Amino acid sequence: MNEMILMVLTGFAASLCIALSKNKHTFRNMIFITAPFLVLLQNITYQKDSLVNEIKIADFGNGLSLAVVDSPNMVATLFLYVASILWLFAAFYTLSYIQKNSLKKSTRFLSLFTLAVSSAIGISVSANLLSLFIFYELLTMATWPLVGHKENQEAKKSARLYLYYTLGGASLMMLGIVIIWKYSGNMNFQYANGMLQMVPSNLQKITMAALLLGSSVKAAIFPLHGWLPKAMVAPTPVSALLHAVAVVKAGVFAILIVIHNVIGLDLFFQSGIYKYVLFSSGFTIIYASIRACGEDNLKKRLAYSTIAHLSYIVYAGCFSLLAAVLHFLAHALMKIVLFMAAGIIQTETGKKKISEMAGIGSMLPKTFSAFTIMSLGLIGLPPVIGFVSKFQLLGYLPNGLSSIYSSIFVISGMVSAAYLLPIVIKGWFELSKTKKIKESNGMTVPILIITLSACVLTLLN
Amino acid sequence: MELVSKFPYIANCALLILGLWGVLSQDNLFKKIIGINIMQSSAILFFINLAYLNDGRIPIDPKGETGYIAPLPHVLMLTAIVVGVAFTAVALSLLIKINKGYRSSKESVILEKEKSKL
Amino acid sequence: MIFAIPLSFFVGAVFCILANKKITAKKIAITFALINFALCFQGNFVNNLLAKGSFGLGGWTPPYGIEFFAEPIGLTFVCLVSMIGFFGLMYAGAIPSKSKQNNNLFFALTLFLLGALQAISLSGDLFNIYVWLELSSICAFAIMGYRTKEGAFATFNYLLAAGVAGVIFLLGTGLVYGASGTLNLAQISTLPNPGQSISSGFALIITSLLIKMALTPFHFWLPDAYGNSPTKTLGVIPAIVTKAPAIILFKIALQLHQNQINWIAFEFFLPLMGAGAVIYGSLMAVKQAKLKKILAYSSIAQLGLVAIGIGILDVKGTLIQIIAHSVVKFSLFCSVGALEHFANIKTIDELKSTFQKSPILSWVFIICGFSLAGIPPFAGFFAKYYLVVSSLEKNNFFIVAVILLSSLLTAGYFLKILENIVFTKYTKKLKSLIPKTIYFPIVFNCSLVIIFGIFLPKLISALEGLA
Repeated sequence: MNEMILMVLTGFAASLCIALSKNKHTFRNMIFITAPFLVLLQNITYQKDSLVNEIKIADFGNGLSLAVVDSPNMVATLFLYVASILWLFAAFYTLSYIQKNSLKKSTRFLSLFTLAVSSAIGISVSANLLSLFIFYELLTMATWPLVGHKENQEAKKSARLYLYYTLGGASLMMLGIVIIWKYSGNMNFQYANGMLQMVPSNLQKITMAALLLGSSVKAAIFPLHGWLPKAMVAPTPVSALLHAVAVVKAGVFAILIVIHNVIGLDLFFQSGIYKYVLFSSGFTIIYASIRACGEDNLKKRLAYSTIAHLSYIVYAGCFSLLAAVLHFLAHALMKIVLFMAAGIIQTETGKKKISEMAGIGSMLPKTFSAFTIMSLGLIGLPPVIGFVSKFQLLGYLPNGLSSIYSSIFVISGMVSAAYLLPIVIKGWFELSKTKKIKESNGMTVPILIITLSACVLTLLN
Repeated sequence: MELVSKFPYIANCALLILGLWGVLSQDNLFKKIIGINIMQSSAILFFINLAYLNDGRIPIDPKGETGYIAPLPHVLMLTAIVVGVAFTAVALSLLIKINKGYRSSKESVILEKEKSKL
Repeated sequence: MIFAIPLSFFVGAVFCILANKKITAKKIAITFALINFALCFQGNFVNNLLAKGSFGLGGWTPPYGIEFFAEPIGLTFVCLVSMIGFFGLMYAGAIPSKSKQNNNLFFALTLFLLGALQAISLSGDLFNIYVWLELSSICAFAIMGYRTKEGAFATFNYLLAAGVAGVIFLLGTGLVYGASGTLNLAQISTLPNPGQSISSGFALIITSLLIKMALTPFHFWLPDAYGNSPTKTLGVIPAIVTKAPAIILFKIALQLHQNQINWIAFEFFLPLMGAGAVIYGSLMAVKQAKLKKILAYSSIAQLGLVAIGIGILDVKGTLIQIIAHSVVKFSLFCSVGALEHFANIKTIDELKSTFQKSPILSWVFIICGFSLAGIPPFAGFFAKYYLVVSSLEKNNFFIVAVILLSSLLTAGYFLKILENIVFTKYTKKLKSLIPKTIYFPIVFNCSLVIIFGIFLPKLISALEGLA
């Protein structure tokens, strides 16, 4: 069997094994940790066979097939690496989290978690639109029970909202896929830029709109972002890995692929669709950043921050794929640390609101310093990687620093500082009479490693 | 084409409408079954009307002469009558069961009982 | 030769009546169902489906004789009935019944129903279709109404509707026969100058088939009838009895397409009514509390999709939707029946204990629910896919919007069911009260939902253009 297919299937097989493991917790945990290891290993050692273009997993006749690419392009490779590496760290974090919080129904949780990340990996190596769609929907199905995991009324409502949003997006995407298939017969990403040319011009705008709107749901672009803050009722590993890295990044990945491979940059600019994308993502950046300042719940504030940064990526994607990809990587690293830190704070001290978090810095120094460093990166300050990506971004904008485009970034930088620094300040500088709590190593070690690597990467640039 | 010569077909329509009215408006379930029977009769009559020829002979051993009533619709209608009989039989047995269960054959009474149960 | 397929069911029905204690009716029924299954799926199955041939009963050729005409759509339905009939009988056999006498008659009637349904799809002749359609309806009435008084009343309403529909069908046939002198569909489709009588006749026939198919606005009998059916019939009736009129309508539509009789009915009214059915069925399903009623309204909605497919003359989408929906509804109705009979779960709220009492059935609900919503890679997705393609070809954007919306609407009513099953507080497993024999047909069909998702589109593509 081809190595790429093997890599994709490893995750699914692991998910199945975990589901069947019932009460043997040790066994289950081992599988949960080895799965990302194996996938990462296969990823690193993958030798591409340069003769073959796409590898079919299942053929549905009439040119429709479930296929993965042989040699992923830049964005896909990045997504693949990000997903596999962060999966590994998140796996350790999740196991500690489950143990510390005595999370119920953990087998179901772990199995679905693995399934979700495997679907994300499948998305990254899809070879054609239909495969992307299939893995996309698998991701939806796997994450829906995770969002509602706590099973109280709020969780159920959020899960329901999530499913409505994503199914609506799926219907729109299907419309776009069907139109493209009908007129060009070939949805393979390698035959880039050609797909939309064959569609008659009166339908082109509809197709582009349908595909972009459909993927915007997962990428949380205004006004389709409503599900993300509500989805923060999920346990933190879900928010960290899935809603900061896998699900939303899959949405952004889909948008980037649609813009660059399906529509093609020339048509994108010619037809004027780029104005809508720029406008909505620009608006989202400002709206979400301002909204974030008003939130007291830490995870919700981080959720709005995620929404803003995803729009950064989309915004950048209109101009340069390289800048977008860089911020993709940077944001994934930073956000996952921030969310993990929020989870640690909640586990160790039970606090969810920022107003209660006075003096956290002295209670959980390791965690909070990681939080601080990554917040600085998110604002765009050196020496964290966030600085690099923002810098590159500004470089790629038309007319350089002096234009309306860059002003959005400057403003949002300031607003990010407005919503992140208070947390930092409160944590370190406000005094409170609480004692220092021993931090569990399981959760903090992954965070520290990621933080460190972020700084290192900055130096390497 | 005078209307009078179409009389059989008019009778047909009248029977159909009578039967349909019976099915829709009558309260007693038994009368509804009778309504369907009347409708079935009208359909059967329609076919017979199609087959009829003025001064036609009976189509048994025509000895090569033409001018006989078309036999095919009659044959089809035999089948249709049998189907109608089976239909009525099932309808009546259902009616017996309903009567035993609800102690009434009137639709309004049964619907009352159903509503009061909810 | 082709007639041997329904014949095996009829012979089985006769033998069932003669069953005694040793050779129970259940065993006879399943044996004959197996024979039928073997006859359908023998040899090179796909080639058999593509076979076209006609066979006059008694050696009389049309237009004098009754012709059995085999063509791909009809043969597909025959195979579908055979498969679902086999599993439905297995399911019915697993549910214990109270009286032995009733048992024999029940199986005999079910076999006769299945045979009649198969014979319908092999007919090429309007009157033949009428006879088999009425016979199948009569068998359906008998098995649906024999248990409870609510069932009897609901079946009575169904009977009235089907009776009126039968009469209308007969009248329509009369008009067509009177104006054209032939009852054979193939010959009618090659008539040079169809007049108004033939159009009116077919209008009546189409209306009658729509009533039997329970398309909005003629759906009033369906929710009560399916909601009050006895548990034993849940395998056989909901999945295929309303599909037979749909298949006949499809065949008539394809034949009539050749000389454009009644075209406005198909092009304009049918997709509109189908869209109405989708929206109405889904909206009404949200309000219901009883599981069987929810599934009944869901059937109305999914049959609306079939009607849309017939209206836009899409072979692939309609066939995939019919097959996928039959299999999915079979699994769902059988699960609901099993839960009601053995685990006392009748409403959505009581579903909270499903995972505790029967995890397998919980999975069945989850998989079938996702297929209904049209999520890949299950079979429901490809049905919607091809339907959207065909509606785009006809430039009918309203229908495209409705088809895409149907996923959201399905999620609307199915989400409550899924939530209650997945998000339950109970973690302890109770001893399972549901017998193992019930699981086999349900699980098999559920796996078919997944398998069909992968293999069916290719299979149906092979039939394209041959209808």
